Amino acid sequence: MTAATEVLVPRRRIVLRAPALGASGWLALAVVTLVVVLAAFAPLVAPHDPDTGNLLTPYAGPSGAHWLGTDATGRDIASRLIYGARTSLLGPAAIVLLSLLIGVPLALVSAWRGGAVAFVITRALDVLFAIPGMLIAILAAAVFGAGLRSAVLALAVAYLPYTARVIVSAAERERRQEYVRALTVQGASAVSISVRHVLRNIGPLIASQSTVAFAYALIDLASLSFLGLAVQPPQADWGVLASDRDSVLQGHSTQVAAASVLVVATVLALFVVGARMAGERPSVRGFLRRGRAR
Amino acid sequence: MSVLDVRDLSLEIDTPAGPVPILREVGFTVAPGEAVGLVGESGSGKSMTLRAIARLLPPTARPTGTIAINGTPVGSLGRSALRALRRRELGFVFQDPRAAVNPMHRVGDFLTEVVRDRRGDVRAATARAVDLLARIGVPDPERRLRQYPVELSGGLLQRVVIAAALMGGPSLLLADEPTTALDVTTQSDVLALVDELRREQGTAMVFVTHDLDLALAVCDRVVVLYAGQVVEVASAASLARAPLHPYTRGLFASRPPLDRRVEPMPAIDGVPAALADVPAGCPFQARCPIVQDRCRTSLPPLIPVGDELVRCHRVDELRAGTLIGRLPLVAPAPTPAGA
Repeated sequence: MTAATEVLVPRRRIVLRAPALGASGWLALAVVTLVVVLAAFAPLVAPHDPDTGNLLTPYAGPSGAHWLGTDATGRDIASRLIYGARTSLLGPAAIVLLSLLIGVPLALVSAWRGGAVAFVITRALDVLFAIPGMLIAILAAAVFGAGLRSAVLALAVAYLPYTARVIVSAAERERRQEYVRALTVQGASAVSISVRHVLRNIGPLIASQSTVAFAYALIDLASLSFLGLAVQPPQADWGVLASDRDSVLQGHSTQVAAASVLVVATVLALFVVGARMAGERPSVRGFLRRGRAR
Repeated sequence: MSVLDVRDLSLEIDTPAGPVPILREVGFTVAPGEAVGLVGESGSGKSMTLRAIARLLPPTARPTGTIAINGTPVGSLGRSALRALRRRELGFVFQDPRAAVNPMHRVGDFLTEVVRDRRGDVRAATARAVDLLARIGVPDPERRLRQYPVELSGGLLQRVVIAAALMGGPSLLLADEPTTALDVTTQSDVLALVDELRREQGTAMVFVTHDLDLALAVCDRVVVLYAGQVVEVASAASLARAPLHPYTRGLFASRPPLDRRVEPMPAIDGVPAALADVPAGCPFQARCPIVQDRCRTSLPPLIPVGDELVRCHRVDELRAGTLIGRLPLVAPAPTPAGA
């Protein structure tokens, strides 16, 4: 009897499986990890100081000492790209975190209260949605002065509707589940249900959404730096490095090309990881369509 | 004092096309330790009544009337008072256990959720959960607490849901077709255990079901709903002996016999009516075999007959048995438990 029962009911254990990223997903994750590691250990990895150059060797070609050569003031381009990864990644991270910090509570309150509260929150987000993010950022630069801080704050506001709307609809769907009603009637508080259950269950979606938002924020922030509105030279940043028109005019395009490739590669990798996390099979066409929709 | 007192409960739901009435002046009481069944066809308003009691109605619902639990009017409670009442007095068993438990949390977390929420004694709560699960027939309860809902069968999970409803030692258990999702053998096991626990703790119960035999077996009294209105209230024993209202008789006559094949299946003529579609007069008029002109113009009141209530103009004739040839024949009901 006992033996039979044990055969019928094996002692299974639910193992948290790694998300099914697939080959392209793992490759993309490797790219992202590499960039993050480079940024984190920049002082150890970078062969030179990014800000001091040798004026005697401007525009030096690639060599053993300078893998990608030097720029107009003789600074090592590879080191500047490695250090540039820091601002280029921290900026978008701050943007996504800030928009989550405001967006998640808004979404949870909206889903929980419904009715007039939800109406006000979603309409306000819609209004914000109608204003292009770059416009807000340019406005912020005009009012508060160009710089990373105003660009990050502006883009965080601009990204709020993108983040919040997805979370609102997911949280609303979750809130309608019977288990929420079951918890309610047990006497659990709104905060505990919203945070411990609703938020936790939509966590994977938020993670996936944030990854893609991070990629777009990277592009937008690099674009703003490119326009001279966010990170200011001489600080190293991919957007700043990609905007060095003078060097291109002088026939030295290594820095601009390398910075651009880094931006594109990181963004694509993030996009693939985010899509894979959401269970989608990303395609170039899908990426372009999304880009246009924005 | 009764554990539950529902008085003149009417309910409308707002839709884009205007308000739709769901319940009209539903009223009944539940004494401490008593089990009351709410029976009726789909759409008769049983579940809505139950949700109104627990204040689980959708935001578009507009209830009127009063619902008092242990003398506390539920409708006017503020947030925290309502939460405290639910925690202390109410247990709710949902129809589909799969849907009623968050699949991302362990069974133990689900059972001790509210205690954790209140920063109470989790250890004591866990001990209580283990005890309850063991009593309700869940083998190896300690291990179950560490498992996720997907690892449990429907029958086991429904026992977990029932245990969760009983965790706070409620004075009133609200059960919304608690065994519909279970197979028949599990169904009777679970119900017997619930009944035992309920009697031990002196917990009253409102039991919603469309299974008349089940209601008679589990409940002391039965409230029959039709189109959002009470048509008959009677003790399970007297209902099993002699249902009075033509609708109740129809329900009894429609039970498929277990011992022989009947074709076609017996059924009440016509289709179940929703309160919104009911014209003036008696809600059952369109399907009633003994309908008269007055039934189409005036709504009969709930007329007391002994300790029963019947909503029929012809209740005297029904009692006297003079209409018997025109009503569906009723096979004897199985003897109710405890009768």
